[in-house]
Amino acid sequence: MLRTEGLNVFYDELQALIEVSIEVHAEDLLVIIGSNGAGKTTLLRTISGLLRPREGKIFFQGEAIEEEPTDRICMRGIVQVPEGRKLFPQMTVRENLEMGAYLSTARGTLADRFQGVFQIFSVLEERLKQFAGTLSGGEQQMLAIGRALMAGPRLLMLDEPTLGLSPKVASEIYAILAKLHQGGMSLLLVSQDVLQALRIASRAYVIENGRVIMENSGQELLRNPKVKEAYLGI
Amino acid sequence: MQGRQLLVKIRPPLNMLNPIVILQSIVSGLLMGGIFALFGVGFSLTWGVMKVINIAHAAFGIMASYIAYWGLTLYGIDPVLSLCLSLPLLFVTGLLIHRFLIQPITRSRDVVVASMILTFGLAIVLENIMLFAWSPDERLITTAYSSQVIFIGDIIIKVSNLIGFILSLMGILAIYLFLYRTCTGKAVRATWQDPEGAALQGINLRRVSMITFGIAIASAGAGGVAMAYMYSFNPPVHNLWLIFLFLVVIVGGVGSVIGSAIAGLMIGLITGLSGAFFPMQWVNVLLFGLLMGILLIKPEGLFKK
Repeated sequence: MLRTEGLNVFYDELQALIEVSIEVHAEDLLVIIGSNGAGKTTLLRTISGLLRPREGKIFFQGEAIEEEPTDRICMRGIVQVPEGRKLFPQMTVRENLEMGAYLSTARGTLADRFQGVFQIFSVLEERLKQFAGTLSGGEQQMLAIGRALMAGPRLLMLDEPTLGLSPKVASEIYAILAKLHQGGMSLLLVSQDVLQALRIASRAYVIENGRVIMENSGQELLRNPKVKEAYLGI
Repeated sequence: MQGRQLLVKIRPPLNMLNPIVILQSIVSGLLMGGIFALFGVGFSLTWGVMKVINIAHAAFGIMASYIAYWGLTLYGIDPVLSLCLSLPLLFVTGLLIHRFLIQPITRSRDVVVASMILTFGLAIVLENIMLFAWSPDERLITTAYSSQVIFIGDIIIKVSNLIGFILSLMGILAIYLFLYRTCTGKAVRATWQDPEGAALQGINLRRVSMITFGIAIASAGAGGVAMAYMYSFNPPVHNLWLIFLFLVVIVGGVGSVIGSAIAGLMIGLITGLSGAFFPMQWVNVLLFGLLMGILLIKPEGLFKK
């Protein structure tokens, strides 16, 4: 579905990604783990078109997309829930969700998409007229995911969706992601919450210092001694 | 005796106690505030959404004043009707200026400073075009109804001023409805609040910026025609309006349409009221003293959430 080939990404002269090649299959729940500054967020930002690779290719459903602007990539069905959520704080929950369905392809079925989101996050229906900036952290994260779902994504990318949330809310979010995956959605999840993320992953990559150093199924990586030592402290 | 002299010194001027003068000043101030508000809303839009401080904003307004003046004196077209020509013209001009002048500078490290320098140059160009086309003489729009007045009790309202005010309110309402009721308008607000978040929803930031600039310039045109109903104008007068635009936007909060509208009316009201009791130079001292105070206490603006 999505394939990157030898991505080299720089911030000025600082290289953030070195020859990164990953592949997301249809109906995958692919997890990328790594420590702070490993390049996970940079990878998602590059796929979304917010950063341009100096070298390398990104293919989505067989077509090269590395030169395309973010709105065009979004139109293809690659939707990202960014780190820090990036909600529109002075717009209501309804308006935030509407913005998720901004693209004309999504607009036709607005009512159905609203219902789809409310089935997953019923709390959002109760908060429709509330400003996004006044929601709790957990509710904001639900809104961020709900907003992405409004676009009807083919590939949903999530960057640290449980960062700063209580363990209870984080578990709820992971349960919802697992449910979306079971429903046939393709997901690419970046997380530092290694244990929870690998538990629901169908496959996973480990990135360190801008390079992919490991790839395996989620369960296999959970059993890997290096992963256990470096990320789980066992 | 000394006490009596003191009483005489602190006694307010007679007109300060006259309720009719006060009411008349309030009405005049609000009518003037409507123009401040409409000019301010457009100025605030480009500043908030695009980080572009358009120094030429008021100059576009004066350009529309001249189009209205020309329409009236050459062809007898009512200034309100001239908006049918000047608004689309200014909207398209805004789109073109964005495409060929503003867009290239959005890549610069400091868009605010770059935009100020660029639009400062643009304002000079516009001013000189107007000087060439219409000379530096002051113009005044004089319609058949210019001298007509309405009496509400003892309050006198000039019909032309009322039309200018209604025009301003309609302009603000149109911008409000665009921003809060249309999909593109909501995208403009989203872009202002978080450009990257907006891009990740598939919003084309370049297109949104272009439309915003076009609307802001067109709104300046409506403000210019509204202004021409009330005041005389000449090409350099845009500089004076520009100072008030900064005042409105800083008081109302950058990017806040409702804030700018309220601030515009408020500043008009203060100007009108204080103008009735103090010489004009003291009114400006009061207004800009207020600005400094707001910058010190609430630098994000009074109405910014």
